[in-house]
Amino acid sequence: MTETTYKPNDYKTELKPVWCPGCGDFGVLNALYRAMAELQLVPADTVMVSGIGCSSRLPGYVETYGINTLHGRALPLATGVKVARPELNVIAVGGDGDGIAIGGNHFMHTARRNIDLTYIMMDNEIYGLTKGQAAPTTPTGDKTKSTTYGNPEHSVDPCELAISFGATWVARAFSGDIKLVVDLMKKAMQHKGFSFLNIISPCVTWRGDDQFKEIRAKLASLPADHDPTDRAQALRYTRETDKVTSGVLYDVITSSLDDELEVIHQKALKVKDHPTFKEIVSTFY
Amino acid sequence: MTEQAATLEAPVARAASVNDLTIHVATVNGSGSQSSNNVLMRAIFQMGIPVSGKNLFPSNIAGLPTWFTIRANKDGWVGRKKEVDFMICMNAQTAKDDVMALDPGAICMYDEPLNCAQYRDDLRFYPVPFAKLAAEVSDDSRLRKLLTNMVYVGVAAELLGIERAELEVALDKQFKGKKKAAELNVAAIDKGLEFAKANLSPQSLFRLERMNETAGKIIIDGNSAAALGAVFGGVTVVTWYPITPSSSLCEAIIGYAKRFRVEPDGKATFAIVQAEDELAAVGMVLGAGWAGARSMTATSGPGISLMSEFAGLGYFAEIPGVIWDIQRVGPSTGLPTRTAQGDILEVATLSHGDTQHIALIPGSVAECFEFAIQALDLAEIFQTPIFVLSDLDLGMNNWMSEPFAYPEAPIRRGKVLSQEKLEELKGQWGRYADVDGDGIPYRTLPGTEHPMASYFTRGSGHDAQARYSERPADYVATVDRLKKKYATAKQYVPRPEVDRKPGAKIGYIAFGSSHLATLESQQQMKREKGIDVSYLRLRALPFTDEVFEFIRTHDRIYVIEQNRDGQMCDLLRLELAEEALKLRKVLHYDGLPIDARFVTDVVCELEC
Repeated sequence: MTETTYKPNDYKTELKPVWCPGCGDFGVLNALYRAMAELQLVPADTVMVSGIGCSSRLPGYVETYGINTLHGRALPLATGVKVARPELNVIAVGGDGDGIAIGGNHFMHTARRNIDLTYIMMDNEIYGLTKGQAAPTTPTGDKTKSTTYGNPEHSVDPCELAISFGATWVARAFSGDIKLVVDLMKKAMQHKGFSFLNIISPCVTWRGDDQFKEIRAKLASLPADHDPTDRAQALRYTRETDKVTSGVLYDVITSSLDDELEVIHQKALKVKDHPTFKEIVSTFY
Repeated sequence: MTEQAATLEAPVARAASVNDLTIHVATVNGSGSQSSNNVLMRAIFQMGIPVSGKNLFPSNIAGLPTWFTIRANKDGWVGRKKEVDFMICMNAQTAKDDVMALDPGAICMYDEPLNCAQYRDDLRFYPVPFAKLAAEVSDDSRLRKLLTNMVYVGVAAELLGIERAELEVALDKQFKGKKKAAELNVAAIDKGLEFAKANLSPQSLFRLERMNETAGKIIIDGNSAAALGAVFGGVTVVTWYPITPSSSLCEAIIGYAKRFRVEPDGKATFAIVQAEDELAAVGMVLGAGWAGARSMTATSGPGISLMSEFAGLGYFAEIPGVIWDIQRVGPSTGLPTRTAQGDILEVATLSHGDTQHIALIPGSVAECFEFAIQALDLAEIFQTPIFVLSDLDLGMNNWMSEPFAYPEAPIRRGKVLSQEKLEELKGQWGRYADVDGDGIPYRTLPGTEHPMASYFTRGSGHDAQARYSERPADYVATVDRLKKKYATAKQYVPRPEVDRKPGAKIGYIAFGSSHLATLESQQQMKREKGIDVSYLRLRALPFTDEVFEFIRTHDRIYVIEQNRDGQMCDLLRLELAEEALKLRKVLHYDGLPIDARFVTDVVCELEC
């Protein structure tokens, strides 16, 4: 396997995406094909796990092992796969409602456990598949099906949460910016530890036709001197209302859970002769 | 009994017995009495007398009342017995109630300041100045408190005839070579022995004498047995969220895995994750099971409720995993430290939509060990979550057992297709296709390098090729095949244990921790009423043909269970509607383990 063997199209399945025309998730999917090809990920050694929602359909369109789980519960299942088979590439995907509302608890704990997997959140600031209700990411004041007089609740920023929860790699991108998305996906997958990529992925059906234009107008890059190892600096680019700053906000070189466990195992390494079955049972006589 | 009490003769005459008594120790939770009670129980066991120990504890770390019951019985009846023969009162909070609950003629040994003798005059009382005696052993006030408990071991030993040498052996085991602690405790026991010898008049009502009924046997709790079984069954991923009474199962696995599952180079061959909740725990189990690991979790009723949605995914997407339910009293948090068999209906069809789960129901610690292995096999053979229904009484209390047999049978991994097998099939493979007609499809594991190997699975509608489908015919085909798979399971699950008495008109059906009480009641019915009772012990869901045959061939069936509604009986009635009226419910649900006398009384009311 010295030659490049996988092209972006090789990761496509027969299934045609059922997203609405103009959905931001198409950009995410195409970027993923490219990122996987550039990393030459072996489909058989790659597992994609998703929750429920429009964006959670994505694994069905990618030629890997895949499992579409429960609403909000992609991360526990992905954790199970990774701890059982650490040699596999594990990618979890889903939407903002899936990952922050119903699945918020798992987001927190998977991040803090620093499981070596990549979590891609397609963030459209709305519930799409249930037809347009407010999500935890829906800006305060916005009118939705469930907030007809404007959203009275405070919204959250997924990247801010991820950094607070203990993710060791956090980035943001806009799904219309395919080049950057590909680049960030590759970096996320290469990061050892829990990597979180928040992709602003417009919902043209429930958030309006002008979403692409509006977000593009707000797009900003991180300053050249941004230090992604500085937590306080990283947090400065979250909760912005007038801007969407993209790039790697936070990247701390750390050991993943695997490394930590290795240390523990070395500590436990006082090799004793393994007792026989009889000896084990005899401890209860 | 009430008639006897009315005579108020002190003490009421009772027939003397040898090697047949129940000792009940009332203490304060967190006071360190557990070691003493274990020593007492073990010493009796080492004297060759069948014994069991049950801890009745509150949902509390320290301060609330707790009781420990030891039942010794020469015939091996060591299920719970309500009547207390020998009471040890150490707790001021409960002393009066403890004394009032005794049958006339019982022995009551108590901490002198409690002045228990004031309450009744139909018991035999033994006041003991524990604080004073403990002070003579140590001047450390903290230690003294703990040693007080060991002093009552010594007093009880002298009164009952427990051999000092065996106490010492039991103590050594309890303190696992901690020499100083052991020595101090031996001194406390001796203090009790000496005091009793010098100051208390001997009694001959309840005596313990050496016999030879425990040679070669072990004492173990069901959770430790299950943990050991899981390790021998090849579990590699264990996920859990702490909840009484299941925590000790996972904690025992942690202990075993650290000792037996670390390679010489230090690499662990297991992963144990303490999850953020039971939803995550079972999600991880399914992730690991789908990826090819043998995975399990253990929980109790509230956790099972949280696992409900994932149970449906596991059933429908066909993912292996093992879920132990160490049942406790519910609903909600209920009585979290009391036992019940109240999750039968919940587990049988856990989740939304049409679901039916395979469940194993161990009735002894040996079966906890065996079923832990078997559950892991069945999970992979049937590619579905397998439940194991234990309970607090079986899981956390001490039970005698024959030593477990080394599992000789090879591990069974079910229908897994390798790269080579896929070559042979020339790509003719569908993840959900029923090739063999038994309802069980073939699966591949991630990492299998073959163009046909990878697939995408889901909890939503799919066809035989695992393709997304909302077609009515595909859905019907899927759920009908799952039903066929469930029927196939009848040939694989542990069959019931049947004891058919010739000519018996009535039969008992029981399961799990009700086993010993049911057996003892069967014997009581024969001895006291001359009625032969057959007995079938359920060991799994789905029910196998033997169960229906047993019901059909008896006039009346008493289904004995530890819940309010007779959940297992209702399940049987659903499946055998034409025999429904034959089935009667014997229901014990006060949070304490079921006892034989209760069963016999209920059945007698209807039969005698």
